[in-house]
Amino acid sequence: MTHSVIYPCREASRLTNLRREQKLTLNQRIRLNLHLSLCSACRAYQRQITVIENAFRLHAKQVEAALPVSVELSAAATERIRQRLRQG
Amino acid sequence: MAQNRTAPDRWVEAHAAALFRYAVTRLRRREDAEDVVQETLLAALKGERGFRGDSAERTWLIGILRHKIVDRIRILAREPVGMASTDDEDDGSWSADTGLWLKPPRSWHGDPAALSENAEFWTKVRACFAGLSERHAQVFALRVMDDMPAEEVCKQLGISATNLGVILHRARTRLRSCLEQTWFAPAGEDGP
Repeated sequence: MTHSVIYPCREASRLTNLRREQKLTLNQRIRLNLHLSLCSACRAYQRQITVIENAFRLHAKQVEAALPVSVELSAAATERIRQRLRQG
Repeated sequence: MAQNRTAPDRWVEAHAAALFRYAVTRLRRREDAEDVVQETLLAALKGERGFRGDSAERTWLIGILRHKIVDRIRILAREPVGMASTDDEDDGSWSADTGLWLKPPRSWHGDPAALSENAEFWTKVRACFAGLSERHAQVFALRVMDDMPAEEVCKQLGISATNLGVILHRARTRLRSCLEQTWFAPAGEDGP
């Protein structure tokens, strides 16, 4: 499998990620697309990491707005910061 | 003048909680988030970055906070985090011999867009992020949550483009399997 023109899933997964950071070579693109056309698991993986990235981006925004879950600044820490700011 | 003197109290009341939520999402540790909130408000008080009347106060503060978070991540990234071994290991998702999936991903049920109102889902998201190693979380926070360009992340953290690729591959793969286990298909059953 490793020596075949078809990538093993590990390599397909690596390139699925790398594609988000940089432009792949023509050879890589062709072989990745060939793999994806044949492998439903790697297609699912590709979709799911997109779902996850979108979820985290949304989460980063939601937390700012305190919805629907959040970790709150404690009263003690708030007071500590207030005291520190008063000192200038 | 009287208004100037009360500015610190007013800012803490109006913004500290929101700034903290923003910071803790990215830095994960409470103490780090508390520190950067304090640094941000101090910098704001000293007019370090000059308040421009054309942007809302909160937006202005978040802008300062973002710089402070990157500074903090850069400092944390220099500290040894005792995770070299996990970084060198393969993720365990593929067969070492063949490179094929040990547990091939299958389609998830349900519409991910419909999850945004589900507090329990977000609890799992946080838990999975909390489970990442320090370095993976740092890179993921800057690159994905804050959408910082790849070259900039490399520059800020002093890592190579190859290293960045490896880290993001592992971070995404781990988050994917964590969410699959804890949310999308618990105990190998059909999803919720």
